[in-house]
Amino acid sequence: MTAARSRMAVAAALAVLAPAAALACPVCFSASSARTLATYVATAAAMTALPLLIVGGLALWVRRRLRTAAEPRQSCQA
Amino acid sequence: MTTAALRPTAPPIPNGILAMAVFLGTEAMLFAGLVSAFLILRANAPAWPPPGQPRLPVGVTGVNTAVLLLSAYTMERAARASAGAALRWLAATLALGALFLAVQGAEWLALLRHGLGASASVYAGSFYALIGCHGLHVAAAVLTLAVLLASALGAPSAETTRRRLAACRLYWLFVVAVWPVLYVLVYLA
Repeated sequence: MTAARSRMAVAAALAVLAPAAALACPVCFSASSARTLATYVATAAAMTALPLLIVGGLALWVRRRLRTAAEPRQSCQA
Repeated sequence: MTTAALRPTAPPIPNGILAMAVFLGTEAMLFAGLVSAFLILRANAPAWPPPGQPRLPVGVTGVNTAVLLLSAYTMERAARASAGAALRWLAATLALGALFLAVQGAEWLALLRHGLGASASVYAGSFYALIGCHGLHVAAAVLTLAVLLASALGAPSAETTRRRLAACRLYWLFVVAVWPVLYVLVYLA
């Protein structure tokens, strides 16, 4: 095992064994109650998912419209 | 190569509609950010609404919500109607939007008289930021609709009016769809 791989294995083991030290959310750990923590988590999840849903939905809509527009042309060529 | 092959074809999605859809995506993020901030402020508060602050008028705003939802129906009728009838449905939509804004304005004045200024508390500040942002969007939608109606009366081609109406309809439906979410979160929850 190379030195780089050993370091990665140690880092991975630390991340698994000491999750508290690997907190990435700057506000979640400061939540004063379970209700506040749940709100932080829910809003962070919503704000992460929403742009993906919007862009994905837009892309699907454009794709469907392009396909619908292409159908009559293909049937004319056939 | 034939001349038909060289003739430009209409895009499958009109540019105005595509631009409006992208714009509404950014608007959805704006409201999601404001709602998130509101929810976090509420979760952190020991009591919501804080003691001594006036309560929001749930009943009047409920009726006002129905008015705004009705305007979505009239807008849909306008989008599906023939040219002459479409203008009448658009005028009805405009009137309902203006009524919604007038009731909201009266409600705000009453709240201000009861001491709920924007700087009175976090509760008041978040209320005015969230509901005010939506109010500004309704005002922009009403203004856009008024311009559309005025330009339609100036007799542009039916196709131009229909294209403008389609983009306007998307914006209006978005503004209407956001309101019930805000009503439930801010007034009822």
